[in-house]
Order: sequence, then structure tokens, then C-alpha cells
Amino acid sequence: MSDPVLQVNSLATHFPIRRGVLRRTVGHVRAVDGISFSVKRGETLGVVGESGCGKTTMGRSVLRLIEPTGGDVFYNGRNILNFSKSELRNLRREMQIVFQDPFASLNPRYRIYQTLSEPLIIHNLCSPSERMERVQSLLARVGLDPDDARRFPHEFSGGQRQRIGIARALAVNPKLLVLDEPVAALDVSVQSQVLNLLVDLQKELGLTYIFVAHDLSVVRHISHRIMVLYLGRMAEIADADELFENPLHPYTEALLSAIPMPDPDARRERIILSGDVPNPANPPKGCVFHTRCPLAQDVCKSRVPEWNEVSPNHFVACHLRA
Amino acid sequence: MVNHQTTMSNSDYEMARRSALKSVLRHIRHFPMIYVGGLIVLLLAIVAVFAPLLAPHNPNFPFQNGLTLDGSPKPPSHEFPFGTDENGRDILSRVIYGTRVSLTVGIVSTIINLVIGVLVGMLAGYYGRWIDSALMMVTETILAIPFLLFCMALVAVLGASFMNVLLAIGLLGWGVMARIVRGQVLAIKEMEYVQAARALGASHLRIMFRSILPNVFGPVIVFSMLNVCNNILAEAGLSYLGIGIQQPTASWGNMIQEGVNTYQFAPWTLWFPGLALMIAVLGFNLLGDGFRDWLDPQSRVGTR
Amino acid sequence: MGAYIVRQLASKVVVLLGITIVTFILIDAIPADPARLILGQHASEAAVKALRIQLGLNLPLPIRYLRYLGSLLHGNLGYSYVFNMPVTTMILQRMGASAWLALGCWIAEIIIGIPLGIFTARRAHGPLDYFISALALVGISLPVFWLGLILLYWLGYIHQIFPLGGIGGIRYLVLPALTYGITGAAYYQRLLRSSMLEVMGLDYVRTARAKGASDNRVVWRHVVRNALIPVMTYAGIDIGYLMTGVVLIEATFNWNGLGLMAYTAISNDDVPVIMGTVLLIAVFVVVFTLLVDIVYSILDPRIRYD
Repeated sequence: MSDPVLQVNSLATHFPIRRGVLRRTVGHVRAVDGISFSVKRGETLGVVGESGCGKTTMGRSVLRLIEPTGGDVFYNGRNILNFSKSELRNLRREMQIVFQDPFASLNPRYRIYQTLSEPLIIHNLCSPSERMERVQSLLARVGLDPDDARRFPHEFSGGQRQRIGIARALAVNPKLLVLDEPVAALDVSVQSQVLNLLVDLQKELGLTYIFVAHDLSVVRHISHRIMVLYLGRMAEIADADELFENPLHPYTEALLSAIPMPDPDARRERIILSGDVPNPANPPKGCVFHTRCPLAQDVCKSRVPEWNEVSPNHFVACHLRA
Repeated sequence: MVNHQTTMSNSDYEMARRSALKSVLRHIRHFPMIYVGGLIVLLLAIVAVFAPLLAPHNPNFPFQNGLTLDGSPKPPSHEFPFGTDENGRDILSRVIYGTRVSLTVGIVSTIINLVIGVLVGMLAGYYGRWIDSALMMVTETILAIPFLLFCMALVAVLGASFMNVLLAIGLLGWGVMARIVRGQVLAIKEMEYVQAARALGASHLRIMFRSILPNVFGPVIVFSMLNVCNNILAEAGLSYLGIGIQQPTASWGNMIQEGVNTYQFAPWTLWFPGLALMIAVLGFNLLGDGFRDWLDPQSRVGTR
Repeated sequence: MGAYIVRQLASKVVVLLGITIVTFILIDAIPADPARLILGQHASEAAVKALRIQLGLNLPLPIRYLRYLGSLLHGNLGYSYVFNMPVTTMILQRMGASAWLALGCWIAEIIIGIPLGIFTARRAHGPLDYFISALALVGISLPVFWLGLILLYWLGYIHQIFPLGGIGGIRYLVLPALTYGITGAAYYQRLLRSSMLEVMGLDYVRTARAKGASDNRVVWRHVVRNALIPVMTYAGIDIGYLMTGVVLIEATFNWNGLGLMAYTAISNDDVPVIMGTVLLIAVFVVVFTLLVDIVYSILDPRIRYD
């Protein structure tokens, strides 16, 4: 856990808003706006924020499933944003993604065998005669019956489908996985099974994870470090335990206060944020959070807060907590 | 597609496939339209294939005894079950041979429509942007010119023959298909399993034709059936106007055209080719409607 | 919304241009030599050649297209080889007849289709619904020219209630309109039926029911009114197509409209008439669908313009 596998520098993904007869660009939705972080080998970086904060766009931009409009993404020291088509194709064997919706992420017309052998065919990873064996060992690895290969997705439960989605991502033996809210659509009891599977796989295969979630409790135990996003920007990043024990950004505090406490005596005051998430096409001036921040002061409305390292490896963007 | 190795044997797959087929049949049972339509189409196909065996007479032979003494067509009789036409030819045999023309033109031109429509709709929907705009402009242009008139003009250019009628209908009738496919592709390409294929490094061709295509098949099949109806009627209309299949080759359309001369005193010259035409179109319409109800989950719920 | 209409207009202009290219290519591809057609079989080779040059037939294709486009912009669709009169005049002479026929067919479809649609929707999934829906399927499957001939035989020839074709007053219109009505009404019936079933499932209809409004009142005040919007769109596009002449009906009933004119022109190899009619009809269809689009976007504010 030393050298960074992935280094992201001021990543930006803006979507143009087109209007009028000539479809002129009249503005941009700043879905991801200047995000920088690095992930070390074998590490899990949790990425947390409300829906619409740009975390999904960020995950997909890192993989170039959505083309970023600015910044750099270095994978093992090489900037993948400059990759050619064929280089990008090879990169797909290194970086994979697991999707949120287990009902939409498997092709309904494919038998599981087809879904899982597709990566093997695309990257020519084994001879046709070995494919069934590979598919079955992948199924076994994610805890499914090898005979499930001949079934169709609709014959499985949500948790089983998510395991198939994970198996598909593992088929190319990737080093890094972007997990895009992999358990958000599952029942709580199934969530922990899938999370445990992911932890086991990470240990066995030495995988690096970027784990995107909308609530902190899910990422707490699986993440080594956690990044909090708000409106496409970074609010705070810290080691998981540090973030939970010593949250600095008011937004992180609000997210934390929403987690139910296991110990009924340890009451924590629930911070309820007022108002809606602002429109990312027209973000507030100064600190983007000031419209909903319970502590906001005049300085927050005019100046963008700097990114400060408050304690070692604990960064925050807040005027009041720096 | 599947390698029958390791733990799964051939017979396992065979059984799985057979039970899948059974469950499909069980489903279809609730949609009698598919059965009735399928039966009609199957019978027509048999008639078309075995026309030489089924036809009692040579369809193009003008029988001496096929006309009355004053030279008019004979009514249905034991020898000529559907009567004869103004040339003394056996109408039953001509209707039987006409099945070949209608089915071949209807189905083959639909396949041409299908290939062009799926290709245009897929490229437009998948690539979007200027490719979409350009292809949809072409589609709109094709759709703006009334179909039959367009076919008439093209057949006038190519010359009236079986092949040219088939080509004209095939080359001009793909507009609606392209629109339907494009709409489906626009929706499906945003699905996560398509994103997953991209993340795996699948090529555009692979994504279009392996990931997306199987999922647009439902609506495409439904529309193809209705398309066959339109094309059968278009061929009949062209032949009826005298710019389609030419005499002496029997087509239901040109038989009706001939019937116009004689229907006032020999109405059977009109009835039988028209009935055959109606039954054929009805068969494909039933199949189309049946497939649509079957694929549309809402219709399975019944009354709300 | 203004931008939406302007964009629609712009795309229609491109489509119109596309149509002129299609018609021009078809004209050019027709094997018959116009100069020979105009001068007749017995003209000398030299005279034919001179006329070809006079008509500009020896010029390269793109130039001929531009000349064609230029004359179109002046409202000149060319001269008929056979009748030796401007195509524009011929079209104008027959437009009234086609419009009159179109109106008749349209009204027949609506008169038959809409009541059946309401009826089958109110008895959805009952035996009468199935019966009428099956009949509608048969209606859709009927070849329109054949049905026309059967009706001519039965009501025109045997019972002599209606004339055996030709253009005239209402009496002449009844059979062609009825023919088209029978084959086309099914589309209105099906559309209205499914649209009503959809509206009946919506919240505000349930609310109206829950408030205790009588069944009839709910159906007429809430359901039919809203369910008619898609039917009206279809009716708008439908009349646009009908106006351009229903070739098969016009040929069957010897109704001298645009469709029959195009058909005769094809039989005569009268290229300018064929292409003039095809072009004009296509333009009409494009303009009409544009109008329907605009009216619909005003009627139904849910349409998004971007």
C-alpha cells in the first residue's frame, strides 16, 4: 500500500446545455468540477455524496465511459485521457466497473454463460473450449452454482445478479474496480453478503476499489479512506476512522448524523439540511455548500474555500474549519 | 454458442431448451391470435410451396371448355371449383399459384425493409448527432412520398416485372421500421448492460449487433408482420393497376384487375382472388397483433 | 417553443430538397426519351436531337438538377408530353376533386371509427369488444380496391342505389367514402380504445369516480375528451395523406383526381406529370405534418421542445 495506482488531477466533466434554433451552448452542467485524489494499490477509496453530486459521473469519467472535459487521470503513471482506441481497449482489462442496478446491468437476452464469456471473447483471453470452464470458475468465485451458466438473468434475485455483475467485471482479471453503488439497490441483509464478498475478493486478488455510495454507513467498514463530494466538488477526504471520529466539513457532519446509532444512549444531534441541492448548471458563488450550511457566514458567500490539509492526510474545503 | 463441456452435458442443454420451448408454447396459448394467424400463414405457405401438386389445372392454360358458348367465364362447377376467368383459365389454380407471388413479394420485400430499416435505425440511434440527423432526414424524405405512388414511379422507371415490384417495395418501405428501431436503440443504449459492454472494451459493431440488437427484436418482429401485410397489399395494388406482376403470371391483384371486365355478369372472377388476399393479410395481421399482446406486459394484466 | 417551430421548419426544408432530388433522379432514370415522346414516332432523328438540345437534355446532371430546381421555384412543374399543357394547371384542375373525395373518406372513417372506439373501450374485454375488434381486424385486412369493386357490384350494379363511378355530388361520393371508411375506421377505433383505457387508469379519473361522479359523466367529461387528443393528431395526418389522392380508390371509382392523374401519367410515360404530382403530393404531406406538429404542440403542453 504505497505507490498510487490511480492519480486523478483536477478532473472535470461538464455537460453542455444547448438551446435555441442553432443549438448553441448556453451553459454547462458541472457534474464533476475539479476533483483530485489518488488511490493506492490494494486500497479502497469510498466516495460519498447525495444523489446528483456527481459521484457516478466521476466514477465513469475515470474509466472514460464518459469523456472528461478537463484534468488528468494517471493509471500506473500514464495519462489515460491521451490513450488511443487500442490502448483504451487494453486498459479495459485493468479497470472494470460494477453497476448499481442489478436488473439493468445484465443483458436480458443473454444467458449467464454469454454475459460472462463476452469479456473473454472481446479480449481473446482463452480458447473457445476453455470458456465454459472459465465461466464456471468465475461463478464459483462469486459464490454461485456453476450450473447457473445456462440460466437467464430474470431467473435470479437482485443479490445473485449483482454477484454475476461482479463476476463479469472480474473476468478480465482487472486490477482496479469502480463499484458504482453496488449494494444500493439490494435488501439490507443481502447488502452485507455482497460487501463481504467484495472484501474477500480484494484480499484474495489484491484489488483496488473506488467504492461509490450515497450513504456513509455502507462505506465505513470497506473503505480505507473516504472522500465526500458535494455538487461535483470535494468537501473532505480523510482516513475512514478519522472521518467518522473527527468530521470537519459541516456537510460531512450532516451525513454522519443521518446514520442511525447502534447504541441508544450515545445520542447525536441530527442535523437536517434545509433546502434542495442547488442546480449544478448554476452553482452558488463562494462555497457551494453555503446555501444549506447551518454555520454559513459572509465569507462563505463570496470566497471559494481552499483545500487545506488540517491534519496529516485529512483535507477539507471549509473556511470555518481550516 | 455454448460449449457442452465440463459439468453440463448435451442432454442437459437439450432438456433446458425443450422446457423453454414448452413454456413459450404455454405462454402463447393465452394468445389465440398467434395460433389462428400462424395457422393461416402456415397453410398459405404450404399452398405456395406445393402449388403444382395442389392446383387442379395449369393456371395459364385457356381451356376451350372454360368459356360458355357466348364466350363468357363459367361459374364454379365440379371441373372448375372457383369458375373460370375471361380467358377460360381455371381461377382456383390461378389463386393457388397467386399465393406464391403474394407470399414471396410480401416476405422477401419485408426482409429487405427489415435489413435497411434496422441498419438505418441502429446507426442513427446509436451514433446520434449528425449521423442521426442525416439518416432521419433521408427517412423523412422517403416517408413524405406516399408509398404506393412512390412504388408506382419506381416500377415505371425499372419496368414492370416480378423482380422490380419486389425491389421497389423492398427499397422504399423501410421508413417506419427505421423509426421504430431508432427509438428502441435510443432507449436501450443508455441501459447499464450496454455501458458494461463498453466498459469491457467491446467494439461499436459488437455493442450494436450483439448487445443492443437482440433487445429490439420484439417490436421489430411485431412490426414486420404488419409490414408483410402492407407489402402484400402494395403488390396487389400495383398489379391491380396493371403496373405490377404482368399477365399471364397469376397474381391476386392482376386477377382482380381482370375481374373488373367481367364482374357484372361473372362476379366469381372477383370474389376468389380478393378473398384469398384478405385471408393472407388477415393472417399476418393476426400474427402481428398476437405478438404485440404477448410481448406487451400490460396486456397480460387484463382489465385494470 | 419558437425555436422548436423554427427547427422543425428548417428540417422540413431539407426534406423538401431531398424530395426534389428523389423526383429528379427518378425523372432522369425513366428510360423513355422525352424528345421522342413529344415529337412522336415518325419524327426525324435530327428533329429529336434538336429538341433534346432545346430542352437541355444534353447538359450534365447537376446542371439539369439546378435548372429543374430553378423552374420549380418559379412554380413551373413542366409541361405534359401527352396533353401538352402545364402540369401545374392539370394539378390545379384536379385538386378540388381529390379534396372532395378526401373529405368524404375522412368523415366516413371518423363516423364509423370513433363511436366504435368509445363503445369497445367501455365494454373492454367483454364479448362485444372482442367481436367488434375482430371485425376491425378484418376491415384492416380488406384490400380497398377489392372492397370498392364488391360494393360497386352490390350497391351500384345489382341494387342500382349508387352510380357506378365518376365524379359528382354526394351520391357519387357515398360508395368511395364508405369503402375507405370501412378499411380505415379500424385505426380510429383501435387508437381511441387504447387511449381511453389509458386515460381511465389515470389518477384524476379515479378521483372523479371516487368523488361519486356518475359513470356516464366521467366517461364523457373526462375520459373521451382527453383520449381524443392522440386521435385528433392521427386524424390530422390522415387527412393530409388523403388530400393527396387515394390512387386505388380513384382508379376503382373512376374519380378524376390527383391519384388517377398520376396513375394515367405512369401508363403514358408522361414523366413531368408523374414527377410533378409526386413532388406536389410530398410537399403537401410535409407541410401538413408540420402544421399538425405545431397544433399538437400547442394543444398538449407536455411535449418537450429540446
